[in-house]
Amino acid sequence: MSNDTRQFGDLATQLVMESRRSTQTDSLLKYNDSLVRALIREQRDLEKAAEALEAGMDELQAYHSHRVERLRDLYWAVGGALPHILNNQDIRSKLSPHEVDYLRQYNSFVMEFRSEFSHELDITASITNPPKDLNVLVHVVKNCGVIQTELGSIDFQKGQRFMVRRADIEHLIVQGYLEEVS
Amino acid sequence: MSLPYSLRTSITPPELELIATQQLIEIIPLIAIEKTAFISGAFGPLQPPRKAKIPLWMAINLKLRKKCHIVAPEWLSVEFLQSRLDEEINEPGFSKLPFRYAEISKVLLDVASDDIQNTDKIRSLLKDLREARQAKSREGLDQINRGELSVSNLCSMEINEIRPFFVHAMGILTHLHREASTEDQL
Repeated sequence: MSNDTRQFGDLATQLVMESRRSTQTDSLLKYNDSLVRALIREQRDLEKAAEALEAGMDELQAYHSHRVERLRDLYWAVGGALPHILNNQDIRSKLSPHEVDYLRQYNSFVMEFRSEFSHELDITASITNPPKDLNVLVHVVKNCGVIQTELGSIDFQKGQRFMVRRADIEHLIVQGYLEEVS
Repeated sequence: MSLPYSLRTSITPPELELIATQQLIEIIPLIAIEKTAFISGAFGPLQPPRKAKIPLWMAINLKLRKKCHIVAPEWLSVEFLQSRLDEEINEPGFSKLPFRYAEISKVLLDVASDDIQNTDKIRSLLKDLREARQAKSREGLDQINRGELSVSNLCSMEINEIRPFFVHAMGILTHLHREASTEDQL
């Protein structure tokens, strides 16, 4: 390829040199048909190579765009609990290193935005069901240890039931540690 | 995106219920409460036995804790609903009902059935009303066109029910119309 480009450079320079010679000798030289044709051939070859570069670009973009959307959906589905996604080997093994980086950066942006008004509203809280009651009865499915709540610190051990403030433990329900008892 | 899948097609009935509970309703308080400020405005003071108007969500909360009685709205009565049902059956077009009657009646029947007369009859009337109106919606499917849909007196839940389908169908009709007219031009 570099051979060709050098040749291309040479051909083009040759044409320009002819024009200069013509000016310097104040004479009209013969039309250099073969040189012109060679240059046009070179141009066409380069154009084809450029086209090949562009092909498949749309499909690549569609694939990545789709994946990124799924990652974002996954992120919001767990209420922005990034460790929950990255520590899950099932999911982690399906991500490329770039996707992991993407998730980390996305998470830091969301957290930064969220912190601006977190005293008023928690944007990572679940909105699937409108709030009905202040408190909720939960059943512990997986140990989550001691959690700070409005009513004090509670040690959530598997199999136990607690009546707690919904806002405090909503994220634990979303991640599967607690189960709401109707 | 951040919106959960289950909320993407349309608003859900629980959400419509939440919106409906912002409406004011009359209660007979059983305890006294001072004037309190909420995000949506200040309510109170509540001075038993004087009636007061408060948002439905607050009334439900008080009722569940047995701190008030709810005064049933005028339209939640056998007479009113029966006359509307008769109109529904005998006239074309939809009868005029409170916009959020389905949500409010559901919530009140759940929580305050002791404050309402003839709850069984009312439940059955509401069911008949819903069925009659639903049947009319289905008939109206014939008249769907690509341009606009103009129906009077549809209520909140009914609109929400038909919206996804109608919007999608009208989109397809527009698409077909465009194809047909470009073919004519060719």
